[in-house]
Amino acid sequence: MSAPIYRTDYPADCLTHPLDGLMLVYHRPSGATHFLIDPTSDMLAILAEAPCDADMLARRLCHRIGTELDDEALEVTAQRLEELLDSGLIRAA
Amino acid sequence: MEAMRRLYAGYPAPEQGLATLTALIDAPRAWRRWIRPQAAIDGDFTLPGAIPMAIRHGLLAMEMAMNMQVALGERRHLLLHAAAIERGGKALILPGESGSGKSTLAALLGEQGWRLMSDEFVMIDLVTGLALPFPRPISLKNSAIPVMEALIADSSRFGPLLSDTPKGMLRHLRPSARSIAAMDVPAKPALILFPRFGDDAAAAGISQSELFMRMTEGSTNYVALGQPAFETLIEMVRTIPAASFSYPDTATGLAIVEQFCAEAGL
Amino acid sequence: MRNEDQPDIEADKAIDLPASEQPDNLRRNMLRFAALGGAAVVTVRPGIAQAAASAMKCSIPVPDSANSTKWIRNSDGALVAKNTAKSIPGPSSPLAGEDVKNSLRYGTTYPGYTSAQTTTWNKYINNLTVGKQGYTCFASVQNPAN
Repeated sequence: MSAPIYRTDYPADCLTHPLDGLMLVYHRPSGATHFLIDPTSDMLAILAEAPCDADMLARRLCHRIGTELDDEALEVTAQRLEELLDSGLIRAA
Repeated sequence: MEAMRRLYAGYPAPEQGLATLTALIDAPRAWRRWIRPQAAIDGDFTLPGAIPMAIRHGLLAMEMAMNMQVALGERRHLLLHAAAIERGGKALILPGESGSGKSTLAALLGEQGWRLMSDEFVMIDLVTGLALPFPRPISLKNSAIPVMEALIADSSRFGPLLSDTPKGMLRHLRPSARSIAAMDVPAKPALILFPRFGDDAAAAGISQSELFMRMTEGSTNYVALGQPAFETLIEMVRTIPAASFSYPDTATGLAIVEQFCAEAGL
Repeated sequence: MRNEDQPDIEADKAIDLPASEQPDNLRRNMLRFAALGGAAVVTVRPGIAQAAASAMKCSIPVPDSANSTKWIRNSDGALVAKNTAKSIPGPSSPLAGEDVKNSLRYGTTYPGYTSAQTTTWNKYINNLTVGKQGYTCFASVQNPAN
């Protein structure tokens, strides 16, 4: 079974506003408001460019923010993907 | 009822009369559908077990019903659970739950040169960003009662003293004639202060993101209003300075408020 | 990169820089920062404000940008002229709010600097008052809820 691909409607169906280094998001489809803390807004931006699975997302994320792709990065990416799924900002296919 | 009439002397007559309010009091279950427990009435009473009331607290029940009517009916305004006072066309907003002292501070300042806009609810116009007043009778509790009694000579402004309510002693105070006359006059929010009564004097600045979060907590209808509320609140946190402060006694609280106002240009 | 041999590099004037402009080491630390626990997606729900992640992205320039060439006296954190004896220059970039919080609360040292520097700079920070650049950040790091 292949790894799920994650997609997002961010930022297309959202209003966004940076505040104090956080990203404030109004998600129109759900009417919910969220605060995004790094690196979740980067993760959403990456998925908005092209949906992908968790490993690829981690790789692109590390490249984007200039860190090593190590176990910690993979773990953080996985954790944050769960939160994004719970929020409704991404979905898995 | 005579007490009620006196409290509301000087107000324009309500369009629908008081019959609507009675209907609300008789239908507590209807309220429960709309009200999340955290966003309930200013904590004079919690919903379970508080309804129905004894007749001698009928005055209070009318008060609560009006609170609810406002909270449920407003769709064009972001409703904040906050006191507000105005000076020079600018509003100081004091969000807070019951016990924070916001109502007492606002009441005092309303007798000392400020116009009281509200002790309980502030409505922010989603288009203009202006704060609209709602100068209902102020709920004074316990120690606030003698403080205001000493300050205000006109005893007709006070409702009856209500003892043994769940929150202790309660007495309503009619806002000044000036406040009532200006009940349709909005003001531009210029400062937001979160008071907390009962600790040593201290103050802390509040960042924009924290302010956004705290304001949504104090709004009964933020989620329901959707995008316009988001945009209005963004604009508020971007442009209005905010801080929190604690104070051990009223005199200190007032001094801290005036200092912040001086710095913010109110 | 911080370089202790160049104390007269001007401290960053901006307090909150957009992510793309922050120094590289800070951006690298962000991934780790986010891994230290706490939610990274906080949904607005009435009554949830206490659980919200605080905005620890603020920073405190030492000294404030209007006095960026001054040094800080070791004994009391006061600002003195450059090269005054028994004083040191400030850090080359503003101190992160999270680092200030940890230093004031737990005695940690600012990353990349010595404990002696940390002690001196904290004296400056502890003297910040309303209106001084960095005060709001200082006040918010002192909030026990943060």
